[in-house]
Amino acid sequence: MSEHTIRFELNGTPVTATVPADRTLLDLLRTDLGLTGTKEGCSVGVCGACSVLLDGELLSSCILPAVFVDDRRVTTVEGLATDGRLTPVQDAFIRHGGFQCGICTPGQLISATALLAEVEAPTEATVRQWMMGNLCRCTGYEGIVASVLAAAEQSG
Amino acid sequence: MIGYDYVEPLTLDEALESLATHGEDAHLIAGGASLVVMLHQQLIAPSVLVGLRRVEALRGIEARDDGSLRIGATTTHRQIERSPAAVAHAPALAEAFGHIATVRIRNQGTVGGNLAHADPAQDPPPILMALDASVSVAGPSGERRIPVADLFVDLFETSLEPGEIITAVELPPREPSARAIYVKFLPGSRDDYATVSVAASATIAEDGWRNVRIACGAVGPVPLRMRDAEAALEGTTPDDRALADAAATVADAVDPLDDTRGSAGYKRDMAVVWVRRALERLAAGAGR
Amino acid sequence: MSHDDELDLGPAPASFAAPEWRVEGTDKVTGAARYVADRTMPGMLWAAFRRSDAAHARIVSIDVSAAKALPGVHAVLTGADIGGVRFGRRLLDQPILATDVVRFVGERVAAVAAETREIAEEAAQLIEVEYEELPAVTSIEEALRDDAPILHPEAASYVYLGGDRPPVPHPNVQGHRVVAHDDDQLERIFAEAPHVFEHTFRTPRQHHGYIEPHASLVWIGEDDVVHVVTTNKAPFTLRNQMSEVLGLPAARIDVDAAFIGGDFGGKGYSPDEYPCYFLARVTGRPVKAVMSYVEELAAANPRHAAVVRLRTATDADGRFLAHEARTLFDGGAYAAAKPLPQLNLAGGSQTLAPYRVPAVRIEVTSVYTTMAPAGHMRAPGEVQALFAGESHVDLIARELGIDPIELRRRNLVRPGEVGATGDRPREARGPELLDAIASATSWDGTRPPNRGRGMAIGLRHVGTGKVNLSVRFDAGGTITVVTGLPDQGGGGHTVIQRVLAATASVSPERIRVERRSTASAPFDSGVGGSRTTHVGSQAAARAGIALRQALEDAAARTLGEGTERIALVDDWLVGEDGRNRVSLGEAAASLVGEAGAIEVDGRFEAGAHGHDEPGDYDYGAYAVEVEVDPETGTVTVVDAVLVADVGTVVNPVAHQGQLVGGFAFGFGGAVLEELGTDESGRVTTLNLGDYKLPTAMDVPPLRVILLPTTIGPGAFGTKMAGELSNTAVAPAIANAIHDAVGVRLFELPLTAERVRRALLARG
Repeated sequence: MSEHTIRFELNGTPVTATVPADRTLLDLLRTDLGLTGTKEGCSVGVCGACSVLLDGELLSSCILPAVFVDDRRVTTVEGLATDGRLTPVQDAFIRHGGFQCGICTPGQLISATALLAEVEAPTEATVRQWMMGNLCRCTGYEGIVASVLAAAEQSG
Repeated sequence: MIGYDYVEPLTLDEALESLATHGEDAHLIAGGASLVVMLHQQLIAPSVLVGLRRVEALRGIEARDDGSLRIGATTTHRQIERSPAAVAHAPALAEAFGHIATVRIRNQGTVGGNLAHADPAQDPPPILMALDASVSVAGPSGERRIPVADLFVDLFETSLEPGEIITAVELPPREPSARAIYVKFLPGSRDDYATVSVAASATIAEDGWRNVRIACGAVGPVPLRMRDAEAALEGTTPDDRALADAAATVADAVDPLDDTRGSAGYKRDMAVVWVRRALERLAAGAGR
Repeated sequence: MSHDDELDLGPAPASFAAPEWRVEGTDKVTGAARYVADRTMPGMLWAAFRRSDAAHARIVSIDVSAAKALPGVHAVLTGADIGGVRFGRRLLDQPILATDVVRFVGERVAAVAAETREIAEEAAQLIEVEYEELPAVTSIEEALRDDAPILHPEAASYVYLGGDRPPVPHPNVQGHRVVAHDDDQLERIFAEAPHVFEHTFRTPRQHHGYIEPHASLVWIGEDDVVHVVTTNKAPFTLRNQMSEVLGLPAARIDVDAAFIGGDFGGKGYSPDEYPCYFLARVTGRPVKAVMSYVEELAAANPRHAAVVRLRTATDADGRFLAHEARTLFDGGAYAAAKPLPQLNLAGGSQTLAPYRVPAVRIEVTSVYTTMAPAGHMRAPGEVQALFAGESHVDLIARELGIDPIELRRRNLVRPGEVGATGDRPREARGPELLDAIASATSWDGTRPPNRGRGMAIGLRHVGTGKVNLSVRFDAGGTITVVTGLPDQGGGGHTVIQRVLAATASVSPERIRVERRSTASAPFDSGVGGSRTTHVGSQAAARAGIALRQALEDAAARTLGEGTERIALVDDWLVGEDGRNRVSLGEAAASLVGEAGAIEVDGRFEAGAHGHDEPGDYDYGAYAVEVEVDPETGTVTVVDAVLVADVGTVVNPVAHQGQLVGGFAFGFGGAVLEELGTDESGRVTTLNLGDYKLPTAMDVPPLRVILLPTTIGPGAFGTKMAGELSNTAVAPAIANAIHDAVGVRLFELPLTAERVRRALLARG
């Protein structure tokens, strides 16, 4: 199997890594780089626990070949808060019941961050449509939707 | 162990050369939304993966002056969903791509990869078939066009020859009065493959319906054109009864499989219902 | 529970009304919260399993040579290597690795430890197992036939934890329970009653759908202590089980439940911790196992499929006279995932639990089949029983031409009365819930065609168990609470923090809740069983009162110079003149003095109440309005109302989340979820693309009406929330469908195709 040296920006820091061709971005993050905030759930791109941003675009890292991030910019949940200051989305998830067990939360936060970057003041319907890709078994989504709407208001 | 080599050509010629060199052991990867899962499940085991992400010639959406539209093969579903050119060509086209799975998958999956995957339950084939789209294909013996309706041979099997690459989807110009619609029947979760899906297109004028196209997804091993229903309507000005009669012919045209989205019998019945409903909506003035 | 030691805490403090800031919130939104799969150890190996392809077969041979030869593989173990050891939560009937026989598709036959997960998985695939097929038993009915193959001929030799295993009426029965009163009258009443109704309902196997698969990490320390990091939600219980199974003293096992990424009852079962222990022992390395989601769906511990047969006699006015229920559960190949002494689901008896019935016989039977072992899932057994019971009640109302609310009103237990299962609710609030439903919906209004409304009501006990807290106030003014209670998302740690703050009269910000492993935390029953808020709040209140006393005593000695009484009020030390002397933070160092800390405990144990004593329950009722597309069978929930009988709310945000989350959970179970299987019992819905969980687009909006009471058994009158909200969803929807289009679905999930089939059958 071929190995590839890839260079990319991870949460604002340049990273060089050598990966086998079949490495997923998720395994690169979690196993090779020890960044375990991004979670593995369904492993088939459905549940959204592994959501990351690639050049600001929302993707499933569990089905994304690591070689695809060469030359690109990756953002994970660890890259949201700066200097310990939570983003409005993170803060809203605590205040409005956006999580319970927390396992899907990194993915939810990344997904919500991508949404608010694209749509400044989304409607509830837009939030639900967008967040449909991030399964949560705890909250029934009400708290998540409320969190995203509150964060939009906060940022806007 | 999955285990394969990865190569990343920069041009279409290099990509064709890679395929030629490695033959049947090579497999193309564009976005990887379906392919990576298949690799993980060991449904395919190529020795070489040829990545298309850096091939410039496969990208972009181009609206031509003649009203035709070219969509590069590695254009993502989401790019099409959000493309003003795609919306201008046919709103139903952009809508159909917006029905695919979730934002994440639409950001990863590409139209070329989707068509090459030949999954009969996917959203793009029916709408592309209804809009008379074809794919441009480059291969060892040059370029050719394949109508999307002729691309699918069997479950996960296309008429592409070894060494060929889908380079673009071509949509011919549409008449100004043409209408098209895409409906996806999801009786369970909103994030699912269709139980059945229907794309319908027609030019509806005073003197009747012309260029009637009806295509269904998830109703058999391949996405299907409903040619009897099309023929029944072509050149007519159908009333509700005629629409229902045309839709009824769909029962014999489909060949669905039992799965978690419904039994074969249910899908057959639903194909009839949703073809009729799609036609009724077209007749009522929906779609552009 | 014993009422001798009840605290008089007065009314709930105003601080409970403020939205809580979860103690673990920042960790969970920054990715810092570490779950088991996130943990690694130096030299750690990965485990993978060769699983059975056969539903029921004799193992003829196992060839592990190719797996052992694969570079990177450190150990391959089969059942023979570990001596056929069996494990379980109550009955040790499941082999850690199968020895001579496999009993379900997905059973672990061999275990591999290797340098990486990929190598371990590849090695597992290289193991060749030859089977001689035995007859599969994939249905409850087959398993109970007289000539059915006996799946556990050696059952008498299985170890049963805590006494003697109750007898069973058939060798393929795991557990059998009869709940009855005045049952000698049943046949007479059924013969004489003006109306007798009989219906049969079915529910499928379903998966918990937690996003975090089971995971475990095991190593043997230099001190010879077995360290287990696990997704198990009851770490002390697992420690004790492992002690029994492995023959090790409990003191040599340290179980650490990390953050748990969703439980819903499924994380009490720990099948991988045992093989990881043996792999760790033979390799001398830490060994980690993380289930794939395929493994989860194929062979974890799903909700029991059920067949529920009901017969009820009523008088002319619809008053229940007699009730007979036979609930059969598909327990799967092993009872290992069942924790209760009866090896059964207690909830299976709850068919008419909220109602008064003069004569009752309810028989609940859990049966061995060659399916994956079934386990506990959010309100285990109640979901199945209530779907049947509340559909049955609706059918009775329809046939008698009595409004479903009115029929329920005539039969719901009133204060002091006993329900069908012998439970005597401390507060019989059923009728109040009916009133709330009637006024919150247009129950009697006219509706357009194909619209209908339905309701269902259930009740569930508040759980019992033990929580112990060790509390330390240090010179910096920080209060550290050490607990063995895991965090599965319910908010238990924040309950402890807020109740402790209220009872000690300190600011919640100075309280840190620290979860520790079994070696360094006081005993805890674990999170689940609708016990956490009840028991946790009581322990926290005791700790808070003790801490306040200790701080005030210390303040009297120091600030008060031994003569003045000093009170601790809202983080201030207050003199007898009522003036704030000094803040608790400023005084901390002098209060703790040379000892460096003030330490107190908070201990609480709630036991089950006696049979005739009043018990604590939550009632929950749903009213749902649906619109049905008769041509496709599609059901759209256009309105849903939950009326919830709840106690004092400590965490208002999490409490709402439990209720709405429970609705979504119940909704998925009602309309979407079914573990599909083929004729051999092999699961066919093997990923979350095929086993659909509800998304943010699927869950209908819910209106929640709280009917709070303050007599809950927890501190300040708390009760429970997590398992009151998912049970009554399915029957409410089924009843609404019937109201809308006149057809009855007797089986879950309530899919569009089933609705349409019923409509076609009716013609």
